[in-house]
Amino acid sequence: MDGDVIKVPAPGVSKVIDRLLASTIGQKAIMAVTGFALVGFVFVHMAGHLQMFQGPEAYNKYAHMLQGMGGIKWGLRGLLLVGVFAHMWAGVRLMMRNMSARPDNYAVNKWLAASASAKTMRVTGPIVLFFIVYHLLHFTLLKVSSQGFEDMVYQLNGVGDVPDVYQRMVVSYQNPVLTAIYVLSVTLLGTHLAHGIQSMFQTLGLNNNTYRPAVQVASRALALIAVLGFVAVPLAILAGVIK
Amino acid sequence: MSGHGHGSGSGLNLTLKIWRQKNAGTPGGLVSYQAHGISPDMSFLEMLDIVNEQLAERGEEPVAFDHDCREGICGMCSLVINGNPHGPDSATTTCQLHMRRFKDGDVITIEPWRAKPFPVIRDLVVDRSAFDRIQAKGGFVSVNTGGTPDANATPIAKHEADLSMDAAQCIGCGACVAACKNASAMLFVGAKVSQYLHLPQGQPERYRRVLAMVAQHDAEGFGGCTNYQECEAACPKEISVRVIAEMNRDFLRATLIGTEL
Amino acid sequence: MSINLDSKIPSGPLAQKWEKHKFECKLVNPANKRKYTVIVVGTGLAGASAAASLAELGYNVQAFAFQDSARRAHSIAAQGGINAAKNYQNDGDSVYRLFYDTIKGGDYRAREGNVHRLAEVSTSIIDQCVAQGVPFAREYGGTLSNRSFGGAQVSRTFYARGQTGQQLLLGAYSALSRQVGLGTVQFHGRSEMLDLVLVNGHARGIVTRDLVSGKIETWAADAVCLATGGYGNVFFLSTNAQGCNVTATWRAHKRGALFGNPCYTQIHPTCIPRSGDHQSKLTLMSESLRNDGRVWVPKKAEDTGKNPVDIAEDDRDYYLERIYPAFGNLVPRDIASRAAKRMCDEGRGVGPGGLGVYLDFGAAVKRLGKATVAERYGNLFDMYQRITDENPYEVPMRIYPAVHYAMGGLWVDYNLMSNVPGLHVLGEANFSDHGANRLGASALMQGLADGYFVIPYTIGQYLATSGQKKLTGDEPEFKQAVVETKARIDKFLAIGGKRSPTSFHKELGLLMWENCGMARNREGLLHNLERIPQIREEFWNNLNVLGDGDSYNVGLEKAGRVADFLEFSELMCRDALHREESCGGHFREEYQTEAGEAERNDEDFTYVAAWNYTGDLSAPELIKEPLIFEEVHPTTRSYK
Repeated sequence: MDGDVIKVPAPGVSKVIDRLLASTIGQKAIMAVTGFALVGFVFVHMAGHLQMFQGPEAYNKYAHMLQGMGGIKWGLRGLLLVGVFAHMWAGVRLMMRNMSARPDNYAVNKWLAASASAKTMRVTGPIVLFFIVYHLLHFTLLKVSSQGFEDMVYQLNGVGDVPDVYQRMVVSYQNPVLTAIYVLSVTLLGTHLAHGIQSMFQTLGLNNNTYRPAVQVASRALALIAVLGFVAVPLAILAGVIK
Repeated sequence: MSGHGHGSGSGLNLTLKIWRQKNAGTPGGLVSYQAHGISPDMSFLEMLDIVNEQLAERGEEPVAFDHDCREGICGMCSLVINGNPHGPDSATTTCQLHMRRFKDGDVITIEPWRAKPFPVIRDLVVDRSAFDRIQAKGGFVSVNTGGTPDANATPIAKHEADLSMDAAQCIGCGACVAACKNASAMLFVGAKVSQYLHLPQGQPERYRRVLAMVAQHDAEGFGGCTNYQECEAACPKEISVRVIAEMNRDFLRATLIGTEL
Repeated sequence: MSINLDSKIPSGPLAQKWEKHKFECKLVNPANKRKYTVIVVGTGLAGASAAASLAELGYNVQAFAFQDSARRAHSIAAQGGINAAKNYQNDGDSVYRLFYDTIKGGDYRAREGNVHRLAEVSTSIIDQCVAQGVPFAREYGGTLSNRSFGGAQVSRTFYARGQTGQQLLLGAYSALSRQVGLGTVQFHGRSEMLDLVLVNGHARGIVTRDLVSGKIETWAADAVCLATGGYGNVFFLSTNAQGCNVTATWRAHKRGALFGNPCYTQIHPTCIPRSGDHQSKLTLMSESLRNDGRVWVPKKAEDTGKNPVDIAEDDRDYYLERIYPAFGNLVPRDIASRAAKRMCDEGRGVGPGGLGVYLDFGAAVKRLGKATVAERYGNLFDMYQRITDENPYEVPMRIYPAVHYAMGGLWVDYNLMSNVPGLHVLGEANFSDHGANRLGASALMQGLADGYFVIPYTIGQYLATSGQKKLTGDEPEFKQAVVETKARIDKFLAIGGKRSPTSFHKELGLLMWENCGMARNREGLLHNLERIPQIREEFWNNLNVLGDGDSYNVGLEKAGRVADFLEFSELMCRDALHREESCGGHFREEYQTEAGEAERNDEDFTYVAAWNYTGDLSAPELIKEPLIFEEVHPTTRSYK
């Protein structure tokens, strides 16, 4: 009889973490929470980018402000790094598990409902990752496509000489190839987000049939906003609107 | 009693590619068969009955497939038909699928449910006892027979009872697993969890139940949910993926509050 | 051999019999219960509820089902609802009224004591199911909703959309699953009982075949419960699931258990008519459709070919409303079925072969609106359209009666024990509570009553008093049963003839439907009694079963079941022939009133016909259990 309760010690925090790490839903939750943080970064980053339209003074000032954040900056960078890593780790864990759950595939394989965005998560995710690495090498570490960046200096009002990140952007995206890579990657990021954002709500249980259509629309709208917000700057540069 | 019109010129002529496999340990493969003179009024399984009778006449062993009630409720029938679990019609089990859905000359590929936790027993028959083991971990209210309060003692809002019933309609057929690209059974588990979480009777064991059932789901080797929503599209009882959201929420809550198993 | 049948109905006033009996039943003390093993064969409503309840009490339970899971049993297909004398609607219902309706509905061919007990425990069933989390339909105020059902003038039917059977079965399955998880029940799926084993005259075990591996196994226990459902598939076409069979009860019968009233089969009035020879089953449309649908046929035979929408109101014969004004479209099943047959016999049937009547929702759509009709019956309409390709919102449905339920079954006493000590029979597999006709929404009630609320009390009485020693399953009786079972399987495989088991099944089914179906007569029954042994003979000489016995073999399974139907059907015809009266589902054409209603013969046939197997070559022996009516006095059943 299950009426005879055996006293079990309370599981403790380590058990909570174990359950999160070991279960499929826990792993998904990790993807959702880290995804949420990364989406937040995407929009903050985009908002920053859009200041390119306000000219070199505003943009370089913004960049300087970010550089001056010191410990907070490194803290946030650390969190982002952990977020990206955890997102990847959980994604890969789930993917391997999911592949092994169907060792023999169907002769006729059909999709019934999934959106293109959902179907391509496994592809768009890694590509976006590669792009981020490239993007960091390009603008942050100045290792690729960054010739002459060191020499671009801007005299910021009341501050003095700062790196001219505005000019660096302009020079980079006057190159149609770099712009094409950027636009393509950001579009794939948008594709990733179109499913990712709604998936986040579903995974965390913040979804029901009342809100489901709205969550779906909002997810796609946010993804579209992100894409438009990001591509606006390089395209404006290429078109000569931003010089 | 041989009047079921095979060989006659009327009706549909079809090419069937059917998965044949002697048992779990022997590799299988698709084998082609011709079906002639199939009446559009037949159900899909009645079409297979006729193919089987013809096979038997030729001395070939009939195709094994699971079926029982043939009215869409027992959950026994299965079959992935041209890549669709339970065939092309929505909200329809294979046994309720009718041949008028097909055209003369069609090629129909018929495969078993495919998932590691659903090993093939023979031909199109798979072992779905993993579902029973998940159920046995928590798909119940722990109440012994007798000694229960009057049925009307606890009013339940119609809206909640309806949500519970929507989830309870699950027939345990496994189409959700068959359709899921990850062979995940989250719709099945979610449906059971959701049925109880909308009822006052389900509350005392609410968190324990979801932890135990999800743990068993994972232990059986089913995949995880990636929100493709293929399951919902394949479900013959149209169970919504909102049950998965509810299960996720309860699972995370149960985990974070440190529910004891 | 002469058997003295003791129904063990307790003495005393009707309303106190069960209370008194529960008190008088011997108890098994809690520490001893775990020393007893009970076998439960079949895990539908009756079997699953019994297995779960017995395990909760502390018994070790071994449960068997031929399907892969207890959730597949055909109880799941019951659509309409479950009766209970709750009187939640304040419309004059009571335990006594449910008892009375059931006795009357059964055409005074059921035991008063059993039926009263059924009505008494009906209320506990609803309480139990709600506590298990069965999501019954509810009102906005949160209380349970009820509807009326055929044969009753009160609203006492509880329901869960059109899937009440499913929800109740899943409730019982959940209770069973819990016990499986706790290790008190061992569930054996895809496992078919092929024989009953008697030791020292008591039922002490079974022989099963593992349908996947083909392994023949024996199981020993202290008592055996059969909850293996009905035999409607003897007709080949019925509303039963494909796997439903008579094998377990027939094997038990051949080991000495009496078969009660095998001729009582229920023909359900609202099924989708057959569309051709290929048909493998008939699909039932819930009887609840008759709450809002109106049944009619054209007044003139020449109108039967017309589009029903074009037939004027004045040219339609709403025959149930005309003949039975008090109950109208809600008359009991046997009455509605026979009326439909009469209309078709008069040449006024519609659809292919003139075997159908209209069930029309035109008036309901006008009165309630399409949305309300869709809310009540939408899933049934969808199902109808899927099968027939016709839209019932626009064109009246066509319906025709079909075999649905077996009132007959193994004979049991008040304790649900057969004449073989230790062999208990529950649910549709027994003969006990429905007399000659079952009322709608009463099968779920009986299955769960037997499993949840009767057997847990009465099995203790047997176990506490049987005085049998423990067995291991290695006794010679078990070994002998295994030898016989294997020999039978080998025999099927060795015939090497030309015809499939299904072709014999179809042939038998057609014969049974023609001559032992909705209407029977002496000539037809005698014809069957001549033909059935001939078919059986051909079966054993010309059967074609491919494959082997050591693997999953559908043809072999089917052959075993058809072989038993071929024997059982003969008993059924014999019972129908001997009962020279019409009652309930048993309609003998020779015994009808001028208006074509059933004519009972209370003087000569107020008894249960229990048949004793005396050998394959000798006629069965008829043993009569007189039915004694202390409370209700049989009258002509009138629904006019």
